[in-house]
Amino acid sequence: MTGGVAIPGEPGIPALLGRCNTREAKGIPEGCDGSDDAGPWFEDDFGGGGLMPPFDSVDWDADPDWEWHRARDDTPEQIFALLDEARPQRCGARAALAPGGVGLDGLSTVEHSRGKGKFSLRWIIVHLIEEYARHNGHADLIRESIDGQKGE
Amino acid sequence: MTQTFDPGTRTEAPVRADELTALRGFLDYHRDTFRWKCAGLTQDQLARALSPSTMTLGGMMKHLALVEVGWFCNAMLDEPYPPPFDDVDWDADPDWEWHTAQHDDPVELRALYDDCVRQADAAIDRSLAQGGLDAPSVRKDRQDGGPYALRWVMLHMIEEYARHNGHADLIRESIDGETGE
Repeated sequence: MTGGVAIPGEPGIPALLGRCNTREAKGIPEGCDGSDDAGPWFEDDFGGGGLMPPFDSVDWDADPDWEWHRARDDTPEQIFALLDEARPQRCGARAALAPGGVGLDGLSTVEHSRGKGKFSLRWIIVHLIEEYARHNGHADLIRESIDGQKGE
Repeated sequence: MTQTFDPGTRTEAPVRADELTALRGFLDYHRDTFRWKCAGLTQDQLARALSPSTMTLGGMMKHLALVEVGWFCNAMLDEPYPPPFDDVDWDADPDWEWHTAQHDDPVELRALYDDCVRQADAAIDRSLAQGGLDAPSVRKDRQDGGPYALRWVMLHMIEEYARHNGHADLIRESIDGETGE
């Protein structure tokens, strides 16, 4: 095995999950704070700053799912460190919510990909809650398939 | 007969809205996403689990019907549970709704779910009339003894649905290969 994954016991995943998409098992930490179909949120979209490494130098046109594919080459320690590092970089949201900031009605710098205009910070925060919850649902079944561990 | 849902009609949360509109938008988005994940499947398919998990989509639909009226009608307003939940011996089987769904016709199961969602929406309106998103629940939290705010219940239901939709994503893909956010 050239690198670890976020969850121990990875070699058992394809067999246990059958036709399920195994990328779900490998990229959850990077996927949450890196990018998804609608783009990254707190650092880049809201505050207008650039993405943090390693996401700032990725050729997304070459592989729109780079973070999901790349995670298999990372050790668990590298992936967890990246997820932890991404949190304090949510500076755009922090400034917006500080006294005198634009607040939850503040608008993102980028616009919706299907023409709905800018996102409010309120939408972004609730979206991240439901994004995490849905991926935690995936994680529930993937983890149970790996070593039987479960729990709400 | 199977359940139907056109994903083109799915509610989307408006990207710029006041708090209540945003919360109701996300809740309806996940209700519709769940309907979509269950649509087009036979009673046998709705009763399939993705081993080693024992969750099924049919059981999940009956569970979410129960959770809708459990939070918005019973916990918030102390209203009684509607049939069939009012007549269950929960001590005999605390997971009754998960276990019995395999015997339910898919269309009747969906009708029960839709009816519970309608009752929940009406209950949300009654709570809002009493105190907006700060409206306190009649039933109290078992740990701290205080009421829940309607705001917390709305957010909890969004994450409850989103997590179950994550389960539904993988269960549905294992049944017939259908995927989609």
